[in-house]
Amino acid sequence: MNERKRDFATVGKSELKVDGRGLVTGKPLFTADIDLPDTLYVKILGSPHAHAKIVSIDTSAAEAMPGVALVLTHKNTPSTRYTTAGQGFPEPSPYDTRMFDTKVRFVGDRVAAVAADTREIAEAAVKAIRVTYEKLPAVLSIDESQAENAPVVHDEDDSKGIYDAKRNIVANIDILAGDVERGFAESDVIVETTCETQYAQHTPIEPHVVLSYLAPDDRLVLRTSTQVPFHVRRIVAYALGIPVHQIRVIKPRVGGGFGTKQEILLEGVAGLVTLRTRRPALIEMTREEEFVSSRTRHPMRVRVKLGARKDGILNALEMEGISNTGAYGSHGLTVLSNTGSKTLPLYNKAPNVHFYGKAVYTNLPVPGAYRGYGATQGYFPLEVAMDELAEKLNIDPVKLRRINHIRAGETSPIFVKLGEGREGVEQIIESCELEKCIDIGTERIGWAQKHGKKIREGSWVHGVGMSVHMQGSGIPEIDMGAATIKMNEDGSFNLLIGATDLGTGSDTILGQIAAEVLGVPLEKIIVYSSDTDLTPFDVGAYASSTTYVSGTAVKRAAEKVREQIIDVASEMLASGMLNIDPSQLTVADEQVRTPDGKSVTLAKVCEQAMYIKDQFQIGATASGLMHQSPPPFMASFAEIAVDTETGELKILNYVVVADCGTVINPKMAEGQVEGAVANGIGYALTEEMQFSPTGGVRNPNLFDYKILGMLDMPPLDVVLVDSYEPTGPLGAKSIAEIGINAPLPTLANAIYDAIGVRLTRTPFTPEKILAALREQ
Amino acid sequence: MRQVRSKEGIVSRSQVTNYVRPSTPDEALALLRKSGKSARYVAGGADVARTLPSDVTTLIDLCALKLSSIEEGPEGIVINATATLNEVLENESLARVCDGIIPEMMRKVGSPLLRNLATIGGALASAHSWSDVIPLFLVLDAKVTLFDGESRTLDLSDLYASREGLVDSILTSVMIPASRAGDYATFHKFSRTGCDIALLNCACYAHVDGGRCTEVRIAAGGTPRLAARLPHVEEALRGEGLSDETIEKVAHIAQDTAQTADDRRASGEYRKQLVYAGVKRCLREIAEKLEGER
Amino acid sequence: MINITLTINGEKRQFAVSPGETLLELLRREGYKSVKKGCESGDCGACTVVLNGRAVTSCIVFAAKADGGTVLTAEGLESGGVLHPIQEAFLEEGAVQCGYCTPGMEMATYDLLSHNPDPSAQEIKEALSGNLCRCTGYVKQVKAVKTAAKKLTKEAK
Repeated sequence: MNERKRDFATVGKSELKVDGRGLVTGKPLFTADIDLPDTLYVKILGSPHAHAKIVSIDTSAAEAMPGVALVLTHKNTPSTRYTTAGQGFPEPSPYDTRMFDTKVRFVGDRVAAVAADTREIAEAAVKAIRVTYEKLPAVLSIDESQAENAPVVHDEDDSKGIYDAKRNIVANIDILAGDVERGFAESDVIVETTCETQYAQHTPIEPHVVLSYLAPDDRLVLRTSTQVPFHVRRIVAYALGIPVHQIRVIKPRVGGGFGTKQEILLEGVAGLVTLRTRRPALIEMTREEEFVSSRTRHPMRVRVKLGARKDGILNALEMEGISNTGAYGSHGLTVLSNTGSKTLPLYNKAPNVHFYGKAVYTNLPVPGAYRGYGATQGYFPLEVAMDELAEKLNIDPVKLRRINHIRAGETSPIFVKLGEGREGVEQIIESCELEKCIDIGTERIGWAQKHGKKIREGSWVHGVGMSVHMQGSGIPEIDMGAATIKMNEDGSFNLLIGATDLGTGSDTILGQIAAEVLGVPLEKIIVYSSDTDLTPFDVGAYASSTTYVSGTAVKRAAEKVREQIIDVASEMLASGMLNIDPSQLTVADEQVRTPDGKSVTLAKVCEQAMYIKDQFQIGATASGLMHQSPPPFMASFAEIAVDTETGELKILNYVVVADCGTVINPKMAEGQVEGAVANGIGYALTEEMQFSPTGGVRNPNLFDYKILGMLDMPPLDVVLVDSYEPTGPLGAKSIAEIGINAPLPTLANAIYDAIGVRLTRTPFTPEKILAALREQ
Repeated sequence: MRQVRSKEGIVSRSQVTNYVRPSTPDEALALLRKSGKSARYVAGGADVARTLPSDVTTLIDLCALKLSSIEEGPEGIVINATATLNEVLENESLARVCDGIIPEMMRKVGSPLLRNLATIGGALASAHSWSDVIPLFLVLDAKVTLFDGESRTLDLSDLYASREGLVDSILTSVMIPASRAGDYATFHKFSRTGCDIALLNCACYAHVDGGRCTEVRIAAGGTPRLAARLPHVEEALRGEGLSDETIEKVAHIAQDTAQTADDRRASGEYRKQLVYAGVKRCLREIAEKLEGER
Repeated sequence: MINITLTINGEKRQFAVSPGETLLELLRREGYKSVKKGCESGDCGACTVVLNGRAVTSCIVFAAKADGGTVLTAEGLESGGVLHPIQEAFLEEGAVQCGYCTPGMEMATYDLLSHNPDPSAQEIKEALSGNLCRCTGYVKQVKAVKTAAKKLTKEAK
C-alpha cells in the first residue's frame, strides 16, 4: 500500500512534455517522416461491393507495369485466420480475418495490394487489376443481419471464436445478479428507454501508416503508428507464419489513435511486401481509406429499464445491448461487455441487475476500439433513463444520482460477473470523489437557478442537463506493463517502457513517476518507449491502463533502483567503524542524505557503482499487473440554448468535474478531458458516417464528416478534484477515456430540459431536434 | 459535394502533364480552346486540386494573368477575378458597401486557409450551390465582366440564368455597385459546424426610404440548388415597412414558395424551415439597424 | 517536368516538379517533414504553410503555381536551436498532445500574429478554424496563441 504523500516534487506539476520540443519544431518524428532508399509504395484495392465472392483476380496487367514489384492477393498470401484486434493473448475476438480473402464483406474490404516504385505507379497498377465478383445479398443493418435466413457474413469453416456464425452473432452475453423480474415487480416506478448510436470514426489527424524494412541482420522491422506494438509483433508473426523473434516493432510519434490504432491492420501486408521484395514498404492510408477501411465506433441499440422505490433508490437495472460489429468481429465481444461493465456498477444500490446482448456481423465498415469502448454507448440510455426516472419520481435529477451512486468502501455484483469479454474481478471502491464532483459541477453550472426554468431569449430556450460516469483503469488480472530503469554516471536514468504514448503524454507522466521516486528532476529521466527489441513488454495504450498499470511498473522499478542506490550510498557514507542504517537514508534533490546531514550525490553513487568498487549496473526491471480497476469518476453539466425555429443548438457552458486520483500532470490531464469532451460533443451533435443503399460510405472525408473545429468549442470548464487511490502509483487512477462518455447523455438531458423532447438517436442534428419539437 | 474520385480512392494528380501560365486573357482562351475537355482553368486551385477529373491533363493558371487588384471606379468597386477571398475580406472599399456586409459574409466562407487561396473569380465561376458569395453578390446587384475575345458585362444573375454561362469565356472581374444612403444588406448562413458549407444561406438587400422598402432583392442558396432570387418574397416586401408582422408574413411566403430538395445533409422540408428563419433573421437585422439609426 | 524557384525558410531553391504535383508533396519529398499529410483535400490544416505571407493548405496548392514565391514552414521558425515564441507558447501551455496538427497550427498562428498582433479569442478561433485537432479540444491552443502574442509583443519592445 502506498502512503498518501502530498508534497510531491515533480508529480502534480505541469511539466513540459519530454517529446514536446521535437513536436513544436516539426522534427521528422512520425512514421512516414523518414525516407529510406528504394522504398516501395503500397496501394490497396478495396472492394466495391458490400458482400461478394471473388471469382477471379487477374493481376497480369498490373504485374507487367514497369515499376511494379509485387502484387498480393489471396492466391499468394497466407490463408491463416487471425484477429486484427490488438488485445492480450488469447484475444477475446474471433479469428475471422484473412490478410487477403476469397470473399469480400464490406465496401472497401481488402482485395489486393500493389507494391511499386512510386505512388502514381501503384495507383495505376491497382486500377489495372481485373476482378470478377459474384455479388451476394448483403446485410446492411442490425435488423437485416438478425432476420430469419439472413445471408451469412462469415460462412467459412476455418474461422474460430464466433459465437454463432450462421446467425451472424459474434458474441452473446447474459449476466444476471439477483432477480430482475422480482426487482421490477417490487419497484414503485419503472422507466424504460432505448437509444441508438451512429457510425462514427476517430479521425486521428494522422491516418494509419506503416513503414517496414529489413534490418541489417535480415530481421523484419515494422515502424508503425500503433497503440499496441507488442500485439502487432505477435499477431504479424502469427499471420505471416514467422517467429516473433524475427520481428521488431518500433512505435515512433503517433498522430492520434483514440482506439483505431489498437488494431493490426497494415503491418502484415507491409511486412510481407518487405519479406518478399527485401525492400522497405510504405503504406499510408488516405483519409478516405481511413474512414472506410480502418476502424469505427460500434453503432449500438441499447435498452435500459430501471425500477426504483418511491424514495428514488434503484431496485432493478436491466440493460440490453445489440451491437453492430461490422464485417469482422474485432473487439465485438469486449466492447459489448464494457457497455454493461463500465456503467451498471455506478448504481450499485440495485441488487437486481441484468445485462445481456449480442454483437452481430453486418456487411458494413468494421468497428473496433474507440475511446469509451462501449461505455459511451451505454451511458447514453442509462443517464437518460435516470433523468426520466427523476421526472417520474419528482426528484431532482442531481439528487437522484447522489442517492444512488457508488461510494468508497462499496462494491457492485457486476464487478465480479462482468469483465472485458470474460468474468471480472471482485472489487471494492477505494477512492470515489464523485460526490464532490457533483457538488462543484452543480454550483458552477448554476443548476438550481437554471434547471427546469426554460429561460427564453427570443426564439431560443435554455436548458441544463447533467450525467455522471465512471470508467476503469486497465483490465485487472490481464493487462501487464513493465519498466526497466538503468542509471548513468551523471545521476540520470534511462527509463525503458513498453507503454505507448500516442500523444497522450504517457512518456512524460511515467517519467514524472520515476523522477519522483528517484528524487531527480524530470530532465534527468531519459524516456524511451514502445520498441519491442529494447523496451520491456506492455499491452499498449488502451483501457485507460497506462498511468495505473504501467505507472505501477515504473514506480516499482524506480523503488528497486532506489534501494540499490541506497545500498551503495550507505557504504559510501559510512565513516570509520560506524555503518549507516540504510532505512534512515533519504533520496531527494539528486542526493542521498543521512539524518545528520551527510550526503552524497546520485552522480557520485553511480560513478562508484560503475567504475570504482563492486562494480555493477544500477538498474532494475519491474512489472505491473493489477488486481483492481479503480474507476475514475466524472460529473458532467451543460447549459444549452435551442432555437425553436430551426432546432439549432448552442452549448453556452460546459462544466466537467473529474476524480482521477492523484493528478500526475495537471495540464496534460486537463488536456485529456478537454479532447475527450470535444470528441463526445461531435459524436453527440455533428458526426455521422452516412451510407448508400448498397453499403458504401457516402461521406468518407473531413469536408462532409464534421468534427469540431476551434470555432465550435463551447466554453469548457474542467476541474480535477483532489483524490487519492491507495492501489494506484502515487495515488493515481486514469483519465483517458471517461470524458468522451459525458456529452451524449448530458446534452440529451439538457435538450429535454429546454424543450421537453427526449432525443434517443444520435447525432442530435438541428433537423432532428426541430422534428422532435414539432412532433410534440 | 462533387468529389470526383475513382472507385479506388485515387488521390494523386499524376495525369496532369501540362501546367501553363498565360500572361493575357487572349492567350488563356486560346489555350483552352486548343485543349478542349482535357484542359481546366485554375485560379486559386483549391477546387480544382480537390476534384480533378481523371481526363484533365492540362491546367491553365489564370493567376498568371495578374488580375487581382480591387479598384474603386465611378459606378462601384471592381474586384478583379484572381483577388483572393481574404483580399476581398480585408479590402476597405468593399467594407464600406452596406456597412460591412461583404467581409461579414466572407468571414463565414470556409476557413482563412481556404480564403487565402480561393479567388473571387473561382468562387463565382464554379457556381457551387452552397456558395456564400453568390447569393450576397446577387442581391448586391453585382455585374460580371466576361472575356471571350471581347469583353462584355452582364448581371451576375444572367450568368447563371443561361446554360452557356462561362463556356468559352473567362470571368475577368466583378463589380459591386457603390452603396448609397438607405441601402441595407444582411446575410445569414446555416451550417453544421463553424467551418462548413451552407445547409442553407440567405442574403437580403433593401433600399429603405421613409421607413419603406423601395427596392428589395432577396436570395437563398444551398437549397440545395444554386442561389437564386425569391421573387414572391421580394414582391411581398416591396413598398412595405419592416414591422414584425410584415417580416413574419414575408418569411412565411419565403418558406412556402422556396424550392428546396433533400440531400444527404438536410431534407427539403427542413430547408424550407431554414428559408423562413433565414429571411426572418436577415430582415430583422435590417429592422434593427433602422431602429438603431433613429 | 517544370522548373520552379521557391524561397523556403529563407533559402532560395530550385526544383523540378511534375505539373500536377502539390506543394505538400514537393515539400515533403524535399525533406520538410513538419508539413503533414492529413487529408489531401484542404480540410484538416495539417499541411498548413505560410505562402507569400499567408497561411494556406499546401495539399491543394499546385507546386507550379507557387513558383517564385516564399514559403515558411515550422522548420523555419526555430533559429539556431532557439524556439520561436509561438513554439515556446505551444509547448508551455500544454497545447501539444500528439503534435501532428501542431506545425500547421503554428503556421496559421504566424499568419495571424503577423497581421494582428493582439487578437481577441474570437479572432484566434477564426484564424485557426481551418486547423483541425482531435486530441486537445482546442482549449489550450487558444491560450497558446494568446501567450505567443504576448511574447512577440514583449520581444518587439
